[in-house]
Amino acid sequence: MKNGALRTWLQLLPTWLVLGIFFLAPMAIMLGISFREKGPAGTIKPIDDMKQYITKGTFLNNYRESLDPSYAGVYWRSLWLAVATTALCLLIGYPVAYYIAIVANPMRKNLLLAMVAIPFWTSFLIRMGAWKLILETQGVLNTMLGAVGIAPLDMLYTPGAVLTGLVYGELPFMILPLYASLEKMDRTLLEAAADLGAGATSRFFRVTVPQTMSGIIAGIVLVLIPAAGQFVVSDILGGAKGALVGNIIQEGFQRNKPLKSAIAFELTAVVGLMLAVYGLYLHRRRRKEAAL
Amino acid sequence: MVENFSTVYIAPCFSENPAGFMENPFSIRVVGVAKRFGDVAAVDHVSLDIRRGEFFSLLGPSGCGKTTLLRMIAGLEEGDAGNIIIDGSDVTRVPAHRRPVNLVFQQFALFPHLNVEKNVAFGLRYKSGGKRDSHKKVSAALDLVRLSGLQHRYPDELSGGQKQRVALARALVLEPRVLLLDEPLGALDQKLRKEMQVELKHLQRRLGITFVFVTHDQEEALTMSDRIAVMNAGKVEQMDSAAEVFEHPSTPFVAEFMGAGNFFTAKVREVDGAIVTVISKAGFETALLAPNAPNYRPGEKVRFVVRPEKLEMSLTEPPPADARARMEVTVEERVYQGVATVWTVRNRAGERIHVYQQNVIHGAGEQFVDMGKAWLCWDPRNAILMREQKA
Repeated sequence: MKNGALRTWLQLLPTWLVLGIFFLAPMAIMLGISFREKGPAGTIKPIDDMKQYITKGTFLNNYRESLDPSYAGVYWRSLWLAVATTALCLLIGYPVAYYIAIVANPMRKNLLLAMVAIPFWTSFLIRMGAWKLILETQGVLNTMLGAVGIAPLDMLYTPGAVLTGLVYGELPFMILPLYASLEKMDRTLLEAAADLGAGATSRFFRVTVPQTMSGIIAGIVLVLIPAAGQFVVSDILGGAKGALVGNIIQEGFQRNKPLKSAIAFELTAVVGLMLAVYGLYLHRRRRKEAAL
Repeated sequence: MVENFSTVYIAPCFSENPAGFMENPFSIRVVGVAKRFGDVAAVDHVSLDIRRGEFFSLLGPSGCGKTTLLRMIAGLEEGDAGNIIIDGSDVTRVPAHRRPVNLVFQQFALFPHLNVEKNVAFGLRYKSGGKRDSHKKVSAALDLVRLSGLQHRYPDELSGGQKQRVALARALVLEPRVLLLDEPLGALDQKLRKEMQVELKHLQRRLGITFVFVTHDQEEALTMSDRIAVMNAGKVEQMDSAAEVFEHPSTPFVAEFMGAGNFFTAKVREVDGAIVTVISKAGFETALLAPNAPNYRPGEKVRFVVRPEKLEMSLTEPPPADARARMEVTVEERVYQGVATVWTVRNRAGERIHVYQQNVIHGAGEQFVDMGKAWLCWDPRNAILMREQKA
């Protein structure tokens, strides 16, 4: 018995090593730094008196500063853009996934799925650059609008441009889990619902949606988390006034590591909370499946 | 409580219907219905009438089109030709969710995300007045299938038999005029199957609604049905009462499917009224009663069938005074089954014959030896004449 427990631990060791070296240790270092004070030229100030440092609350200075009202605009923008991105991805992604999984000719499924994944072959930066060319004042879209007599619009460097970029970038991460759950859904259930009198709309909301809930939640998590921490999209399409929390963390990280680490941890905490909710859901679901 | 369901919730369904409803003797009329899947004619221009309140079975081997036909009645499959009429109104173009029938699926198709109560209540909101007292209706339906107290269980917490009952309750709570059942007992074990057969039959009698039951099991169909349509390759081979299909199969396929595999090749000698006299390949002459006797011509090659349990085997030839038909055979094999012994014998023409003999006394059949001679005799009325090819 004891031998068996030891073996289990040994088998888990590589996993723990990888997780420890590449995930837990960096996180721990960052967490440590977030409680320190910045020194001159990007250094970290040594702690003179640990007791005072803790009792006086100096270690929380960065968290205090990060909650300064001057950041509120950025946090708010980041939050609503992340939520709006997720909602739009779900609204666009569900019909696409539904089409590929259920409506499309089975022979063409793989082709359609490949088309969803093909953008990944090009660097994200280049694709964002392309969006810039499309959206700028003398860009592709405005040229086309001009051809039908519409005056050029200021589209670049607006929240709308950032939202467009975010939705574009995250959409595949919504489509793929939705596709997977729609694909494995038992179609007989839809027939049963129809037989019991449910019309198409009713069938969708009372059978298809609940049956693909795991895919919906996976898609939301996969989109919400990266969207909340994005800085490339806002950097290229958002301009000076379009900064997101990701930009705050990334810009000048070298000069003020403690403050930026604190903000990064706050973001992680928010994301972690969402993951916890997701985990709870999965746990409950799995327990129900285990009873099968 | 159980009786409440039929009196309170089922009965109004019949009394409130317009006068024409009761006058029309047919629950379902299938008229020239056809359905192809690629090159295969799954249902090949089938017509049948299902009477109100009867237990009707579609019986046949897998792939004979019985399930496709049932799904077409439910509206889950669209036909290529023909019409489906339910209670006198043509529903051929009516989608599944607007048809007054409900289907019990082979694999139950319960909604895994809903508990038993919500599964049963699923369809009530689409029925006018269905939401009223829905809680009471659900528990009445669950009482009816003897499944009270499990309202809050989820489908994956139920046994196969319980799932079956939930599926039944979910359909019955809607008070359908016709209940369609697609091999609903196929997923259950043998013992439960037998119990459910009897229970379903009782349920159907009590509720008085039309049941259309799909099965590949001839015994199941015989146990439960008022009438049976035997299907083969997309066509109905025979449609008759259960006893008629069993005793008087009209085609070799039906005879074989109903377990009457003893075919004898013969030639017609003469036709006299309803009596056809034939000379069998094994050399004996026998007179058969055939309702369609005038269709036969002297010299024509025919077959006749005698069911294994209608044959009697003895060591000596019956006396000439005995009016029964007879033939000499060689005993080849004995399979002791407890209740009965099944013998395989061969006649002079080399035709293999099965004989089913009840083991009435201990040691019955011990007088027969392997490869020994024996005599078979049968009442000529139990021999069924049919054409070599299906007419």
